[in-house]
Amino acid sequence: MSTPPGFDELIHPPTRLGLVALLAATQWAEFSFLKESLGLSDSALSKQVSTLAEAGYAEVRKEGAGRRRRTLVSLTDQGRTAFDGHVDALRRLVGPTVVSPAEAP
Amino acid sequence: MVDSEEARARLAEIAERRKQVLDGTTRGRHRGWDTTGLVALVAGFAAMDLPVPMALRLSLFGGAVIAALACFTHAGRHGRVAMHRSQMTPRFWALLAGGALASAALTVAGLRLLDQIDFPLRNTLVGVVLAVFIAATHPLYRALLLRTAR
Repeated sequence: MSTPPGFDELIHPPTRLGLVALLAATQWAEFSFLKESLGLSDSALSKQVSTLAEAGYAEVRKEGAGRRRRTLVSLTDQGRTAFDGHVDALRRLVGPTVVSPAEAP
Repeated sequence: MVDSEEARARLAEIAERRKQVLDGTTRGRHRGWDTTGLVALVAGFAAMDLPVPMALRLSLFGGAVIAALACFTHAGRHGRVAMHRSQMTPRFWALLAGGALASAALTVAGLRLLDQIDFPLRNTLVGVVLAVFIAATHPLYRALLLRTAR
C-alpha cells in the first residue's frame, strides 16, 4: 500500500497529531488547556509546538501581563491545510465504507 | 508505511480531540463574566417593574439585554479555548437556536402565567427564573454539544 497524497509525516506521530487535531478545532487555545488535554509536561508540549511553529504550521502569541499573562497557540492557514490533507489521506487509507466523514473534522 | 488499522485509530483520536475542544469551550468559560451577564439579564427584567414611562422601561430592558450578551461573549473570549468556525456545524446552530427558543417560550409562558395571578414584581421573577434556567441547563447544553460532534 502506498502513502496517499496529502499524508504529512510531520503531523502523523500520535502526540503531534493530537496537538494539531486540538488546534484544528480551535481559533486558538491556551497552552495550559493543550497541556492538560494531551497530558504532557510544559517542556514536552513546548517542543511539539516549536516543531510545528518551525514548519510554519502553528504560531504562538502572548497576551496580558503579570498573573493574567497567558500563552495562546493557534494553527496557521498552512497548518490547517496540511491537517485537512492529512485527514483526507487517512480516510483514503481506511476506505470509504468504514469511517463516515462526520467522525473526523 | 501506515496500514488501515493505524489510520482508523488516528481518525478516532482526531474525533476524540474535537470532543475535548467542544468540552473545553463550555467548561473553560470565564465564570465572572457569565455571572455578570446573568445579573444584567435579571436587572433588565427588573427594570420592567419600575414605575417609570414604558419607553424608558423598554430602553433599560434593551440596554440590559445587550450588556448581558456582551458579557456572555466576553466570557467566551476570556476562556481557555475558542472554537473554530469550522466546528460550528448545522447541528451546532440548531442546538443554539433550540436553546434560544426554549428560553423565549419559558419567558412568554412565565409572563402569561403571572399576568393571570397579578403577582407583584412579576418581570423580575421571570428574569430570575430565566437566569436560573440558563445556569441550570448548562450541563445539558454541554452534553448536547458533545453529541453534535458525532
